[in-house]
Amino acid sequence: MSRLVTNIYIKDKVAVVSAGMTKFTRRAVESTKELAWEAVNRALEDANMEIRDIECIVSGSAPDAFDGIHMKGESYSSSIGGSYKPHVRVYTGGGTGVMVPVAGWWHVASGLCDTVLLVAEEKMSPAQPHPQYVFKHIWDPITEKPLEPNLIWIFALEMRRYMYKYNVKKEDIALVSVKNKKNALDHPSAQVAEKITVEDVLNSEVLVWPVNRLDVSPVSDGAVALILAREKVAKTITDTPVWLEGIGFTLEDSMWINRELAYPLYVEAAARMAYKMAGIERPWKEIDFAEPYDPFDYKELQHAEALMLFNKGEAYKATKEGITERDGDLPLSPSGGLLGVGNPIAAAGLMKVAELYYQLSGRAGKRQVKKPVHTGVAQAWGDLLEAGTVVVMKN
Amino acid sequence: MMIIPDWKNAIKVSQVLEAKYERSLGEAYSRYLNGLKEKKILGTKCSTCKSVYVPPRIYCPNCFKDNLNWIEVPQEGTVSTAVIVYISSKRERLEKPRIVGVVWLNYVSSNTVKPAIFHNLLGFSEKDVIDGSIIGARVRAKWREESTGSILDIEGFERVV
Repeated sequence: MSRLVTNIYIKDKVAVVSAGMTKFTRRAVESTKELAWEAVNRALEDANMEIRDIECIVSGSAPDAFDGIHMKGESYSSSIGGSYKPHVRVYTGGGTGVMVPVAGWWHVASGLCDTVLLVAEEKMSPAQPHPQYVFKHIWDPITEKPLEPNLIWIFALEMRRYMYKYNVKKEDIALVSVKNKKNALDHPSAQVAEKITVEDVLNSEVLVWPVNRLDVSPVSDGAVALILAREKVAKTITDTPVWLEGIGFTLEDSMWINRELAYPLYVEAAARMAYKMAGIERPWKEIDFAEPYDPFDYKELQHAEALMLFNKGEAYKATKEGITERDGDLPLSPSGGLLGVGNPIAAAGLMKVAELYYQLSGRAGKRQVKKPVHTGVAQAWGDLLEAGTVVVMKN
Repeated sequence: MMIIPDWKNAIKVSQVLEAKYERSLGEAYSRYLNGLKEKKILGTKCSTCKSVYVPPRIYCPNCFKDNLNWIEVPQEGTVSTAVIVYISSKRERLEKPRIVGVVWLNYVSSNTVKPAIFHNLLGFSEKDVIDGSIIGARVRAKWREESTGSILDIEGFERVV
């Protein structure tokens, strides 16, 4: 593992002061620009701000190919207030949603901007006959694509390895899907919130064994926006700012077949960077709740382990014992996660960061976790099992 | 407000975007595919950290130097993970399920880099995948009669009994 950050000169403390999001749906009737505008407008209303109060913009969207619009960041820029302002789009595949606040942090912590608008937008539904087809082009064109792979393959291969290495059963993994879909019943943006059982997961359509349909988050459209501000400005906007205290981001080698798949070392590296910055030495004790990335149920377990909240291969035990429920000792995905709220790729990651904001400002309503919370971590992963992005927030 | 009641009644436009690509494979993959044409699996070994790369690379990402030597690696290995595929790349149901996986080839490498091939696994049952007996199983490359210089010159890896 590479040498991690040892010294960062931070000019300004960075606060999250508001959030807004659209509903997540399988097929939004709004255009890409309309969807992004709607999320931004809600975040501005939440902060009682106008677009002219925003100095810089950081946006994120996953592959252009879903929407069929090349250079989408430029295309939607004016709909998120980007004209004549510094606007940059960041992209790390599925890791994008948490990469957006990471890049937003640079803008404020460096002293460049007083206020930064964060936007993550995704429309997967235009891709026909199914967005899966677009994912075909993520594979190595010479050594992998001739085998006609589907993206689900790679998760199934990783899940199978994880199950083998740590002796975890499918029914234990399915509990994550049950929990997150239940949690999402209280999320107003949720697409696939429902009360289901482990049997429902195990009996759903087998896509690529060991992955059944209900082990996977859905295809979604949606957008999320957050507003960041430096300390002095934040206090004029809200009485309950939440502080962005740590950021981490790493990339692993894209040749996934050449390494051990059971443990995502790149997520641990990103987490160590974020924890160090936030002054966290024992995450399993100091983190009150987490939003680990859960596009697949096993990934919540694997990611919670790489975030060092549980021992390797043991997150399923905590799930079984109810520790990761909203009223448990260490709630995971109290939002309902990607499995319950939905997975408009970049927007889903930023939805997890928004949940940290709602929980830590005491505004999560019916989703508010039972115990008092002061520190949370959100994480996303992307590409061929290689990108890790992490943020730590405190109130 | 919205003039569109729902997705079904939305005004939609259908477009096909075409883009054709032709790429030079570079030195590493060109030699790899030439090797496959001769029914050999070639890799490169870093003289500094001893990592063995299959698929090969002409530089070592660990040492960031190009002092690697070309080697021929054994066509046998063990299955590190395997799955049963029921859907196509377009997400249609397959008539007959396929078993695919990653094979770690039998060649001593560094601790973190495993020389490997991602391919079809032949002669295994769905049960072998589900009960886990396929993982760790010894397998050997099965070649097609005619080779063209493609990863598909190998039909898959079959169990060594």
